Amino acid sequence: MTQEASPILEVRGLTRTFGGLVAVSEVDLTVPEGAIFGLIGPNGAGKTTLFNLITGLLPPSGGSVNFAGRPITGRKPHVITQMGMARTFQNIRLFGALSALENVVVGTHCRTSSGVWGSVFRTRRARAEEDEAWARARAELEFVGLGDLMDAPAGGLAYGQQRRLEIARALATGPRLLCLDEPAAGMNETESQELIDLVRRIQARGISVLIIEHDMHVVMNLCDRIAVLNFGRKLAEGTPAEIRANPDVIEAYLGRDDDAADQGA
Amino acid sequence: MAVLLNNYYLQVATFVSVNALLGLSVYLVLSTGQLTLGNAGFMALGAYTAALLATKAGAPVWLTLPAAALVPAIVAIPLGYASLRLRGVYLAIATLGFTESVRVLLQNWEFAGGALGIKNIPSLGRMVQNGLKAAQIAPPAGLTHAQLANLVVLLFVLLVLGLALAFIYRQAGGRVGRAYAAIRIDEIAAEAMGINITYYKVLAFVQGAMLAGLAGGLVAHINFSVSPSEFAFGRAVEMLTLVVVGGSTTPLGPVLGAVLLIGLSEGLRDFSLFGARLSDYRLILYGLLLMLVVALRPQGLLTFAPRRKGARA
Amino acid sequence: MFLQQILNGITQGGTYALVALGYTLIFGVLEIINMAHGDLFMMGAMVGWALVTLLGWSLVPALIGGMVGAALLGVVLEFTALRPLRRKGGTNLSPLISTIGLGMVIQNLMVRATNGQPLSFRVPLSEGVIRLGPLQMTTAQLVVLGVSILLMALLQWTLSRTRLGRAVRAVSENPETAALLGVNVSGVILATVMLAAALGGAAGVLVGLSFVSVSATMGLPYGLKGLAVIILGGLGNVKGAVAGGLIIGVLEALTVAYGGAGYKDAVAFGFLFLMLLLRPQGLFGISAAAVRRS
Repeated sequence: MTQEASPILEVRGLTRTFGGLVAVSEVDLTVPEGAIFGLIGPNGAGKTTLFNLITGLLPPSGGSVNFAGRPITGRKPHVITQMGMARTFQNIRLFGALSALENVVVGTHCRTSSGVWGSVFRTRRARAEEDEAWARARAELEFVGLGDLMDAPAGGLAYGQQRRLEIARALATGPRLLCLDEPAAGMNETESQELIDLVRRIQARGISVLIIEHDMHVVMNLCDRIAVLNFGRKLAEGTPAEIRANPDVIEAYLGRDDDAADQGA
Repeated sequence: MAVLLNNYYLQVATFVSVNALLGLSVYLVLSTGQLTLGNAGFMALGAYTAALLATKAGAPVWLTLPAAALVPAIVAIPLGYASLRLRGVYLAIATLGFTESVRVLLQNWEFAGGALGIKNIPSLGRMVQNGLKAAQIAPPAGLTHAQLANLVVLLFVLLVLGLALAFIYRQAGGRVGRAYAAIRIDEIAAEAMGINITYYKVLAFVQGAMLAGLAGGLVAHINFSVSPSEFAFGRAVEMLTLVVVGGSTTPLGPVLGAVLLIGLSEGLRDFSLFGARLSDYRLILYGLLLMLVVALRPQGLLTFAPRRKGARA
Repeated sequence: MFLQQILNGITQGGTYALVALGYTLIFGVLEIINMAHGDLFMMGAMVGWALVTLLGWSLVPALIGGMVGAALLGVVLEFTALRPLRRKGGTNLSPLISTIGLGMVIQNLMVRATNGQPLSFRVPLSEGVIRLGPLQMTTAQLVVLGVSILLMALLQWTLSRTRLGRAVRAVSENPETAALLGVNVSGVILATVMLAAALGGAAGVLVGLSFVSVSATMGLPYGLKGLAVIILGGLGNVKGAVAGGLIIGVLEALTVAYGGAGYKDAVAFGFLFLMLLLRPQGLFGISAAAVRRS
């Protein structure tokens, strides 16, 4: 990253406690606009909690989050999505009973505006908006490579397809920052290579990406910068090369009997 | 023809249609995943609004019926914002508390007749009959004035039901309906899609209240009288039964529920089996059906496969 | 006068608390609301009536009989309305609906059996009035209050001191862990449902005793009031159920005494409403967030 763009996401001193347990402690992150930013760490390091704090699903106990220069700390998830931050979930949360395409159309919700009147009376404006939303959704499905599965019920898709469908749905919200929670989990080598390509193509659309991932091959190949979380604290941050060489990180991964260790680069 | 159009059948069909409206009012709220027992209370508000306007202010029916929908909606907005923070059984109990509170308050409201309620509400049937006579329209051969009036009332209620169904179907096919479905399936994912879940839950709650109130207004004008005891726990449960048994995933479910449960039990009122009149066992049958359906077919009798459409129709 | 109303309220509140304890025990273990509870209460009263009126039993054995009758119906409840749903998973709304169904079946069978008429329930008790300074209590009131306190103490002892009580608490804490520790979870659930039903049945007999009559529809108002009580006290909270019952009983008595007889039933629902809006976890509950997550 050579350009000094203003950061899309700035996290300062973010902290969250559950009862007496500190899940995330004093974490600082700066994601530059246009970057692919990796978040790694052993299981239970607080990565998903950090995600939930950033996307508004959990209120933080302390600290602040700025998105595109505006404070979003404590805002509701739907407001944050409307402002341009989208996410996927570690344990895939699709609308299983709806078709793949309908899932993505739901994603266009916050970029459309027709209400009860428009829906019921099919006003000219509402019809135009609907046509655009469905076209947009089809385009996003094509983009993630699910163009031939539009009418399949989302719940019946294969695991890797569900992960890509979730990404298409998130893209349909028109994000400036896309947060992916372990998108390569459960994918085979071919699929994770396709995922790397997909995320690059997302970046090429000018969308910044924040990604939690266990698969070191994916992380090291994809990310411009990486932050390492351990026991809720930020252990290190740097380029993939720097992270690979960082003794603290090696210690955190190899020093633990953790499945992440044998995936280590 | 004249046999099929006998007054009793016409009244049963009208009664079924009103109950279908009540079932739909519960369905609307359920389409955002919220179970309400409060629509009996909203129905009471609608029925009393219409009854009071008609008897105390002499308001015409084209005014009392819209008011019967409007008053519950106004009550439902703050109530919805306050109570829809609650989920699952908490919401069910809170809304049941609302229904019972409305009943107790109406019972103590002397102006509205207290526990006896309001009588002599101008009936739709009588209005139509008078109108026909005044316009000197003679019923077609073989029909009496009363039959013709009952037929007109039935057609009117069917029209309201048709409009309600059209509204719900249209809404379901658009942006609002998708938001409802998303919330019903997964609130957290819906929120992550930028859907303001509180807004849509309250919207569905208010729509349900309006429909229940409108049905209440119709009941007031069909039955000539209303009383608080009609809108108690039993009513809330009956409305729920129509949806649970008929089907809670398509608007036709509650309609089927009303036809099956209300239609059969009314139609077979005098039917007896082994010396026992069937209508005496209606509520026992409802109870058994509720248990069986929840255990064997939780989506209700009528269900829909996920809508499949590559393009919008 | 004021103290007398408080005393009357406490007596009435004791039966509310007994009803509420049945709800709260089941909620604690299964996180569901048993909407047939009011009808188990009514069946307890009916069995008590039958034993006293038809068989000429005296109060105490009839009370125990009412509890046993209700407990047996609890077994029916568990096997028809609760267990079949548990195997399927699903939300806690399904048992809410199926127990409404069972309640309708029980209530309307009894309506048929009694022709919808109330039955006079006369227990051979001395008709005396006991005076305590300015306060007075009828023998029936004294019995109701005494039995309520005794049963609550017995329940407290069962939950805190017996093996069954420990198992019940373990299951309500976490069923999976309890199962791993060798607790027979299905057995504990069945026992809890029976215990809850028995408490409801006892309350039914006591209410029949104080009103000198029982009827097939007596369960509904008490069932609804019990719901208000557990919301007030916090779902699943045993102490809350007792405190909530007493609070509502006393407030109702005061409402009646000071001119609002018609609004007596509104007290419970008004409270239920306020609590759900302001403090849904109840007076003694945990956090609001936990309630909203469920």
